[in-house]
Parts: sequence; structure tokens; C-alpha cells
Amino acid sequence: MRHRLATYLTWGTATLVILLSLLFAWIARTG
Amino acid sequence: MRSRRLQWQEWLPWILAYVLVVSAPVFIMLVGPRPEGRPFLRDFSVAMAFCAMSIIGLQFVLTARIPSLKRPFGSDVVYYFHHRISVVAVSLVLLHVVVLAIQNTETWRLLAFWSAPTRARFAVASLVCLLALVLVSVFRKHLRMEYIAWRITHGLLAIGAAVFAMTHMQLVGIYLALPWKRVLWAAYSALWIGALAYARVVRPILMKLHPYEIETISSERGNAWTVRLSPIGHSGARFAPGQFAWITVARSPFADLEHPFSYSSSATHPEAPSFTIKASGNFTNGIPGLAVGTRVYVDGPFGAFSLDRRPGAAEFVFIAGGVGITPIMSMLRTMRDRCDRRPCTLVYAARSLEEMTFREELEGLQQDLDLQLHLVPAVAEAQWPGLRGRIDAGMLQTLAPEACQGGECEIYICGPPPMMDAMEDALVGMGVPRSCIHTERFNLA
Repeated sequence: MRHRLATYLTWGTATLVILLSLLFAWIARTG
Repeated sequence: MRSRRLQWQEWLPWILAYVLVVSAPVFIMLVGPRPEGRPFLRDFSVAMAFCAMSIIGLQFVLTARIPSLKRPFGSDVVYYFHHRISVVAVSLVLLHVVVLAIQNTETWRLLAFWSAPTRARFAVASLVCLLALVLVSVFRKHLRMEYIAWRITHGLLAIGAAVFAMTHMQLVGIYLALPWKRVLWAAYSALWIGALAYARVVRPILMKLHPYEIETISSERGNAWTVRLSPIGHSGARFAPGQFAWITVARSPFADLEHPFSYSSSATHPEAPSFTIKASGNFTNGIPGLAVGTRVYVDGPFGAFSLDRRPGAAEFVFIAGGVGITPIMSMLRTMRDRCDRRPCTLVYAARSLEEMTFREELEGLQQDLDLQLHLVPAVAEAQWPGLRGRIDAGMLQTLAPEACQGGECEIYICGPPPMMDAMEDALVGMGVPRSCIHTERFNLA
């Protein structure tokens, strides 16, 4: 319970990385 | 409220910096010329791997025991995040491989170590290290691996995973073609190596320069021993009551054979720190056999479990189980030495009255502090007038009603993990704000 901040940061980081990677691949393809 | 706002200001910059460093590789990849005509999935896969590399590298910073990083969160939260984010990093690396293979099935052939090109061999070696790292961490107890052996294995595998992955990236070279990008990634690596050097070289040197020796070892109730130290050639490290330190006994501080223990002494006397340790394992069972004068190295203090983090608190409730009384004893002794008369309540549970470490001193502290003491043995003689059994929500409402109302009361819980979980759940269930509940867990490995 006390580790909620760490849990949110873990999930937040994972989501951000996936989204940024998708965005990068899209930008790379569309130029 | 002032202290809570300060806390927020302390931790937010660290989180922003972390997110920025993890996502930086994607932005670096976007700058400058990019190879054309690459499939979407291939770029997606590479971007994930670059971010995974960043996460893996930052693991060295998270575990470097940087005091300003540990202070706002508490050591256990940093280690918990280190564990969880490692799962994310390994998942991203596996996704990198799978997505590449979906895009081009020939990728699977690169996993055949002996026939693969050098760049792929480094990738396979890194992946093997990462998977082995996860296996020995998750199944350490099943593998019956000693804590120290695990730490050394963990460290070597982590270094292997990072070095092999970085070499793979440099050999592949896509998105690292520009010299400044190579320099940037080299600087990135230097940061991680710097964190490792700080933890493994700088801190041990500092410990070596500030040694201690055992002054006394005294027996306590509950199969515990208090080891009092005396600094040699210095005045001791200042600590906050409730914090802990990593202790190396009769070994070099470079040996990486250290154990975490809470200070039990008053923070007003850093020149005479003491640690109360329950005999419950290979190392701790040997404590009574140590000789006075034995050289000890102390790496610390660490931890956010301290009443000094809430200077504006009107009152305190302490809930201790077994040897979890140790950091709370440090807080109570410090309050006594500071003539702090803020009201406090201690609910102390142990197997029996005979096993309650510091029982007599706690009873005596009621003279010096505005302290309500409630001893709760699991088992007691029939004539015991107090409560007995496991502490639960109902018992807490009877013994420490002020804790259950929230507000200006700060609650510190230390004991076996199931007890801490149960107490936290009970308090939150009664509407106590989470920000008023403080715990710190020691099952770091």
C-alpha cells in the first residue's frame, strides 16, 4: 500500500515508453 | 502541512528527472538524419530497446545509496521500484526481440549464439544475463542462495547485462551513426558506471576513513543483542531517530558483506550509536560471539522512517511488533533526550511479556515522556490485566483512538510484514489518511 507511488511510477514509465516508441515509429515512417 | 509540502517538493524533481532520462533516447533518435524505408515494427522495437537500456542503466543509480535520492521516498520504496521497473525493462527487451521476429522471422536465427554475428551474440549474452538476474532474484529462497552470494551474483549479472547490451547497440549502430550520439551514449554509460563506482568504491572508502569498534554487546529480551559502537578518530555520523544503516563487521568495507539494521540509540548521541539485533540467521546468531574492539564499518544513515520527517506533528502513535521496536526505541529515547513532551502512544506486540525487548526501559520512559504504553503479548498468564493476542482494528481503536481519527497524529508501524500490512489496512479502513501512516520494510532482497 505504501508503495503506491512506486507502483504508479512503474506503470506510468511502462506506458510512456510504449507510447513514445509507437510515436517514434510513426514519425519515422511518415517523416 | 508544511512538512508534507516540503516532501512533495523533494520527490517530484527526482521523478521528473527519471522519466526524462528514460524517455530521452526516443528524442535523441528523432534528432538528425534517420534511415529511410524501415518498417514501422522495426522502429517501434528499436525505440523500446533504447528505453529499456536507459531503464537498465538507471538501476545502478537507484541502488547506489545516494542519500538525497533515498531521503524523500525511503529506502524500501526505492528498492521496491527497482524490483518492479526491472520487470518492465526485461519485458521491453523481450518485446524488442518478439516484435523484431514478427517483422522478420529471420530474427529468430540471430538467437543461435554460435552462428550469429558478433552484434547479435552480445544481445543474446545480455538477454541471458537479464533472465538469469530475474530467476535468481525471484527464486533466491527456493535456490537456497545465501543473501551475500545472491548480492554478488546479482551485481555481476547486472553489469554483464548492461555492458553486453550497450556493446550490442554500438555494434548495430543504427540511430547511433552520428559521432555526437555515440558520445552522448558513452556519457550516459559513464553516468551509470559513475553510480556503480560511487556505491562500490567511493562509499567503502568513506567507510574505511570513518571506522567504528564494538564497545559493548549486551543481551536483551527476545533473543536480541544490543551492539554499542564507538567511532575511531571521528565523532560519528549524525542520524535521525528511526533510520537504519548497513553494517559490516570484521571485514573490509569493500567486501560487500553488509547487513541492514536500525539504530536503537538516541539520535542526540551520534558518538555512541547502538544497534539492537535479533538473533535469527547465520550472521545475527554470531553477534554474541563478537569480541569487544572488533572493527565495524557503518554505511548510513538511510531511511525515511523518522519522526523528524514530521516536525509539525502534534502527537505520535507507534505500533511495534517483536524486534520492530528497535527504530521506535530510537525515536522514544531521542524524544526523552530532547525533552519532547508531545503526547505519544506505543502499542507493542510480542509473543510474550518475557520476549518484549526493552520492556523495563519502556516502562521507565513513561516518567520522562507523555507516553501511553500498551504491551500486548500474544500469550500471557491468566492474571495479565492488559489485552493479549494479535493486534487488530478493534484493539487499535481501544488502545489508540487518536490514531484512528487521523488529523495531526502521525503513526509509525514497524514489525513483521504481515502485521504491518494488517495495521495499514485497518487504519486506512478507518479513514486515516495514508500520508499519516509511516512504515519501512527490510526484506530488500
